[in-house]
Amino acid sequence: MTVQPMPTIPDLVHNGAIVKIDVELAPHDQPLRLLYGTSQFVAWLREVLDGARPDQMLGHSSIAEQIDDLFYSFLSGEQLIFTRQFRAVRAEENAVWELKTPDVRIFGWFMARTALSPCSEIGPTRSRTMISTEVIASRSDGCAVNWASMRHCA
Amino acid sequence: MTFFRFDIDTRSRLAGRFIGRVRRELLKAIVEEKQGGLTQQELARRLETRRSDINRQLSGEAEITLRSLADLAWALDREVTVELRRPDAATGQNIAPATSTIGYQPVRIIAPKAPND
Repeated sequence: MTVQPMPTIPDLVHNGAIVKIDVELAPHDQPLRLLYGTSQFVAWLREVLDGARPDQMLGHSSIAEQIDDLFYSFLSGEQLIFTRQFRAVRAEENAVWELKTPDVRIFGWFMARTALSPCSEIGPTRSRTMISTEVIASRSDGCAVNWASMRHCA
Repeated sequence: MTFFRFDIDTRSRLAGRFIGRVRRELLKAIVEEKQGGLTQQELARRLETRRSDINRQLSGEAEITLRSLADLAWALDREVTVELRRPDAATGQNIAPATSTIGYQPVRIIAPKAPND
């Protein structure tokens, strides 16, 4: 019996399982984290760029602006605000993590445990609109991957 | 496709990131003050407002006016710094306005062609 090696991030990108995602960085920024998404997630991002939005919005920025700012914060290595911008859905190894804006939830997980370190909890969050998608994330040191599926609910 | 750029127009990008940065700065200050014992309830008391109103502003569900930004900074014992400057331009930097292919035009997806294209 042969044992198949676990695919690496480049393997997954090469065979089309995931797609690297980025946003325009500011002049002094360098990408300090990496973000990958499945084709379904990228398709959803295309819909957002085409103007897709939930029936009811809580945020005062557009969905595209919220996602751009969230991705920018993540990729540029900014300190993310625990519970406001991200949190662990399950506190365990290979836990599902959540990147969030007022109107969007992006769920996924990291291949390594060192990916995001919560800084502090600010307060409880309320139920908000979630948009169906999935995304895969990674740090530039290659230690993270595979954001999991999302649900769509109001 | 191996790469996807979530590229919105420059005006939207600047607005969204500015709004996000202001809220993050406020949240970071609150996190720091919370470690010293400040609660949102106490913050609301100092500002003579409701905790829920502050929470909505911090979550992005309500606008933060310049007045409320100044008030929050006061309540958090912080000063607000505002500066308008022209974009940086130096060799080797990311120059967003120059590298973006969309400018103020409608949003467009930037992605390399598939190998078979």
